[in-house]
Amino acid sequence: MSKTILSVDDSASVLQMVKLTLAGGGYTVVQAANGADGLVKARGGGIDMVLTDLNMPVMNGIAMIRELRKLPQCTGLPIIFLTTESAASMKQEAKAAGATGWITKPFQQDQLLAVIRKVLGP
Amino acid sequence: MSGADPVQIYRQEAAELLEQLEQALLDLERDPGEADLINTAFRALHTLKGSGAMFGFDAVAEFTHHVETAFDRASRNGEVAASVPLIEVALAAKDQIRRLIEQPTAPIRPRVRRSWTGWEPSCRAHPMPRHGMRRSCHGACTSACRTTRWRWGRTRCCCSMNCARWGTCAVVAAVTAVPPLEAPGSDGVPYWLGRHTGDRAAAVRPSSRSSCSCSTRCNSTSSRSRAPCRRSRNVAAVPNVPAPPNLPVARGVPGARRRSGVPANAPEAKLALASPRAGTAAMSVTSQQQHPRAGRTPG
Repeated sequence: MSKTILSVDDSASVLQMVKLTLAGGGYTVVQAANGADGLVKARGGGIDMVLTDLNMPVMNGIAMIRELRKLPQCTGLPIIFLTTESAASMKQEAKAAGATGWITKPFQQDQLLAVIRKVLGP
Repeated sequence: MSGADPVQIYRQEAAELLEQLEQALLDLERDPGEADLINTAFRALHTLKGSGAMFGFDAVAEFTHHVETAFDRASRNGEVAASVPLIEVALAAKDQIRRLIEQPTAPIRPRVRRSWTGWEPSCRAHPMPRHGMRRSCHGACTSACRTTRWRWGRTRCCCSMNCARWGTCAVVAAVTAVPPLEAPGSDGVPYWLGRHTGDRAAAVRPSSRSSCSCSTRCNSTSSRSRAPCRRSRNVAAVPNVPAPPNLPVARGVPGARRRSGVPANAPEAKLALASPRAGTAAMSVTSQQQHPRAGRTPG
């Protein structure tokens, strides 16, 4: 059974790119347009991993992670940032909020799949 | 949208983001302090840049980075105000982004390029240090300063002060861009005559075009009123001593140093002169002076 990844980004083009990449790797993708939407979909359960942008309207990625980590089913959930931000201070803040990893855009499809396989296993 | 081309999706998304950006900027003009509008503009720019880089719109990503940096400073750091001038240049930049999406090789209009100087912290290779940090830019940052502010001659003093605030800076004169000494200016007077022979008549001789009457051929707007600009007052303040015959630029340099805020007797100021046509660096100034208004006295 394929694993399910929640992809959260306010950019439709990035969501589509992530979906095409992950579908090629055999994963099922659930999409959300912002942090609040992502939180709702994560609460529904069945998510094995979260890939999220940082700067989003309504609720940003860090605020979403803080809320996710309060949920019992999400305490051990791998959460990886996929963002153009690369400032060390932002990475520190994300790590403190509970992020597992950080991938900087623009990303290579192979690189993204390699990171996900490393986190989720083959 | 499962089978849609991401590049095509980006184009549609970019059109929506540009509309969103325009609306936010127009609303900001009415209410410049509104944080939500600043954040909306920043997010639109951020997405345009990030997605553009992912789908091969490198020119869009590179140009948008400059605009985004300014709004980042306004939104997250509060370093600059979202003032009307910032909004105006952002609106011009929005049109430029639209052109770059349609045609990635579209040239960036000089007016748009120039207008960003001052909103960016510095050139990309040498980001602005945070408060309390010092950093040597070794003249590389002049790619951001020299080509715009210094060439156009409006706020070179402020530019010098900003450079000095970063720490040790090297100022290198572009001697190859200096016209030959005997070359006449637009008013028929040899370029250096008014400064190096003490010919005050030449310095104030009415020019044939509507430019400033000072001997340095600046583009000061005070020319319309025929009032000498500040630069000509600086030249007049230089003692009328004949220049050494083998150092034709020696008289000009003290004035330049005075204008750039580095006093002649500054302990850390170094000056090296060579022939202005020799093709080598004619002047280098090293200083760690700060603007007097920044709380430190110069030299």
